[in-house]
Amino acid sequence: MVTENDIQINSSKYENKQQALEEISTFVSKRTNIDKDKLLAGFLEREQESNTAIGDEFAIPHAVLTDISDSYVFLHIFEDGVDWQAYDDKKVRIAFSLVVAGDLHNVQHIRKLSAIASNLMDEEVQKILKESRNKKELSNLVNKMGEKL
Amino acid sequence: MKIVGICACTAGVAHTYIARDKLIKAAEARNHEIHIETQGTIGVEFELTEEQIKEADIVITAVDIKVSEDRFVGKKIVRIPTHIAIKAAGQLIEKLEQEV
Repeated sequence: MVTENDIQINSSKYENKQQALEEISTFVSKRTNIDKDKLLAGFLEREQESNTAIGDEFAIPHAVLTDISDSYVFLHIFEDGVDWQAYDDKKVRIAFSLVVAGDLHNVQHIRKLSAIASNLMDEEVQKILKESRNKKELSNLVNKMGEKL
Repeated sequence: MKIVGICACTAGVAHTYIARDKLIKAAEARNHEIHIETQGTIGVEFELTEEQIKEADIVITAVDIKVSEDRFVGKKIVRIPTHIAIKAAGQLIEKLEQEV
């Protein structure tokens, strides 16, 4: 269940993806008590495999960690946009960060994260994510996205 | 044309499903029939039926990990990484139209 506290609306400027991922890691660490450096290393490792930007101002950075049992999702809105080196050259304004339990995972948690990714391709969903800055509305939307793959 | 395929990324959580949606949108926009199975951390979803595979003109595997191709023996298979499906699904489908 995503709450308003899992949503970050951020007006700061970030020079690049690395800086944005540091900010994401700090935010996620506060919410989960998972070590910030461990999160950042996980996010960076995944970016090295392939860029997590999916075009049209969206990205889904994720960290797969082996010693956690719960998986998490957070929504980060970067008002100023982040140069994510996306294939379409658009700055990323909306990032869903996923923290994924690699070994001891709860399948229902991961199913929810997969459903959120899948529903991110829905045009109506994209419109709300780009326009709404109401955390209540956004958290309701994310929960709805997670319901069905 | 009729297309079947598999998507599977390394983490098997997010981009598998993004790649699937991009391929489906691109194919349907050009009036093709398409069915894409996902092989993720949660297992197989949208599983291809024998009939879908039998009728397919072409198979796309958009994968970053090794997947079994046993069901596609005798079929033309196009193998791409998931990021190609995510950034260039439209161009891929256009290219396949010329090849099939």
